[in-house]
Amino acid sequence: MSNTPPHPDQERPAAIRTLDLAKQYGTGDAATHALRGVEINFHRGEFIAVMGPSGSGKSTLFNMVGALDAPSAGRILIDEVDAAQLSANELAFLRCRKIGYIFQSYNLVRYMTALENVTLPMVFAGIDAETAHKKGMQLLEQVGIADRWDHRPLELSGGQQQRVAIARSLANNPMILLADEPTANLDFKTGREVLDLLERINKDRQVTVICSTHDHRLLAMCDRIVWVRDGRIERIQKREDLEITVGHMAGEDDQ
Amino acid sequence: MTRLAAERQKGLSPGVSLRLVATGVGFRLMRSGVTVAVQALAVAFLVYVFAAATIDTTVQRRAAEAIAPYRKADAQLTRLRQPDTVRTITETLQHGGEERLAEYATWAGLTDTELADAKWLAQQWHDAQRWHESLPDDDRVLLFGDQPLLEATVQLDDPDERRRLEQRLAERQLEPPGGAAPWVAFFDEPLARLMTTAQRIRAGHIRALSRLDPATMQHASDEQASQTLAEAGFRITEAQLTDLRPFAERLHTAAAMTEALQDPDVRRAIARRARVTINSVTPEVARDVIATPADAAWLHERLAERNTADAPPTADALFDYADHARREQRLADALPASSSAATNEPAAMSASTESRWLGLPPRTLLLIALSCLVCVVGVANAMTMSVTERFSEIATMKCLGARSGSVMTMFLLESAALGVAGGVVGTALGLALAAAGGFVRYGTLLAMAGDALGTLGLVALGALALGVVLSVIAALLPSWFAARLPPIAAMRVE
Repeated sequence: MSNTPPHPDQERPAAIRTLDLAKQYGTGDAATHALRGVEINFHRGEFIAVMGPSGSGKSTLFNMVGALDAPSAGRILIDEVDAAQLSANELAFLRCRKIGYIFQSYNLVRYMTALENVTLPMVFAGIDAETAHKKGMQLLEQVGIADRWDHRPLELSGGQQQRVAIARSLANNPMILLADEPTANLDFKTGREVLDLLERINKDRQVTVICSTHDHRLLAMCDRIVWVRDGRIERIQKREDLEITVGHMAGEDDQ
Repeated sequence: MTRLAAERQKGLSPGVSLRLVATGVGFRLMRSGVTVAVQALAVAFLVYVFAAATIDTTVQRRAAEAIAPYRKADAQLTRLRQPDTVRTITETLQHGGEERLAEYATWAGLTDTELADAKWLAQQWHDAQRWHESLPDDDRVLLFGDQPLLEATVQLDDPDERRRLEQRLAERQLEPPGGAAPWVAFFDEPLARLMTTAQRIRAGHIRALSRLDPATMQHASDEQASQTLAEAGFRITEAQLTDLRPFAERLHTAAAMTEALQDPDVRRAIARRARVTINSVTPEVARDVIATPADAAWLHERLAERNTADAPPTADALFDYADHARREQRLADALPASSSAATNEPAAMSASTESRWLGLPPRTLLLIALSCLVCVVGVANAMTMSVTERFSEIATMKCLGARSGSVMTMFLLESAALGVAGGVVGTALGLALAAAGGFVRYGTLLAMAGDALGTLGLVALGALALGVVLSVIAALLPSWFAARLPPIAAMRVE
């Protein structure tokens, strides 16, 4: 269970690189080592699943990659920019334009309509209202719920809310989409649709999608699977190496 | 590593912040109903207190202006019917007009020197009484007993008594104006001199009145009456007399009606009409029975049924009397108790406004401060709840690129919006309450507060501004908490 070296796929430029990334909570004997030196490259346009049991450090790694948490040691380069060295306002700029976030509980703003939710990141990016409105409608069109643009989250089903959230994450044409268990709160069929949507976005827009998940259906569509265990990368598997296992799991899901 | 493409996120323009806050504001305001209500109550109380004070001041000022002709005519007519009391004479000597003093001089045969002396003495007497009243109760009772100063100082013509009073004043470290010895000495000869002069004036007044015959005066022309009055030493012009006529007429009607109430038949008729027992029929009851000209005609007929030498007052006269008497009564009721006793002492007004601020007593100011505090605490509590409730929402916004400053601005603006909503509701409520209270107290006289509409508008604007400022202050801390929230909080699953 040693550190896995960076992926040797050098001709593709990296969206995110980590260098000896470590994170500990607390100090001295009470310290908890959530990450113990992680080195990994996520390439542009890759679809990646991050898997691992609870307490494995998966969430911590995920938060670092999303510039939501600062490492204790090591570097995290998002589009070749060291996130740990950025000021609060520079981080806000990075989150606004480079990364799109998709949450397990959708995290839509309750009092805003679907369209207002989608245009919110564009408002923060300083895009004028008319352009934002037009683009917001286009995005809702792409996720297939343009007809519900003026509905509030409470009037939408879980799957519809997650579609709005996906549209929102794409608002400022990010390079990276971070999805935190996007299907955990959805039923089987809706989860499937959301995953298909993510796959299509990955293919069409060449956006790097990093998905933390327990959903084994994802394994069938991702390029690589990163297994995290005990604060380290346990192994990285390409999908080609995984076909048989996935088939078995997919069979289980289909019951 | 190089810091490629490390740009700073720009802040939101005020317009954009406002637009964001306005998004779904109806939805959020409904959830903030309690906050708005707390704020509205505080602002309403504030507006009510100031508006009610403004209405009181304005209506009372206007009522005082409106009642002045009645009071003046009353004083004039009283002077033409009854001799002034010694008390009235000393007061008039102290602050009365030239004409009244000239009348006094004529009646008592005073020289200019004597009149000047009397005026000076009256001033001394007035000052002595003021100082006596201003003493603390225990000092006053100990030194002078619980009686008016005039009675308390009767024995001061004895030098030993005067010395004793001086000593007691010195013991209690009381210093009358002008020094203890001169002050005490005033109660010997000077006060006696003043009282003698006052008695002379009163005697002269009585002699002058004896030359007037009421019945003749009633029917005499203004010119004749004016001449008779001038001969009797009264300084009253023909024009003044013309103005006095309607008042004298009403006085005459009132007297005739009061006299008629001696008649059991009239009493019974009025008692039945007013639905009261026969024993409780007073001139006031009779006055209020005459509500319309038709009532006046009815009463005129009842009075005409009596077999008396004098012709009864006409229906018009009865109605005119009742209408004006009620109006005067209403105006008098609107005035505070202290000024309705017809004393023209401006000093009494300033004494009661002492230790006030903005014309309000300390207790009300304390209540205002408390209501502002409640407002701040209420809004702070509601905003804290709103922030706590929206942790994930705020964190999500930060994930989407909101700067801490933008979050803070948005929350402050939202709180200001709550302040405006609460302020508008509260101001309307406060003004309505003040108007209702004013109507209960003054009835239709409330219309006199129309003069103060500008002031009331300022009060409303001020309270509105205060409501907004208070709610922004209350939101500072919760907004700061919201702004500090790390974006990672968005990942927490509720």
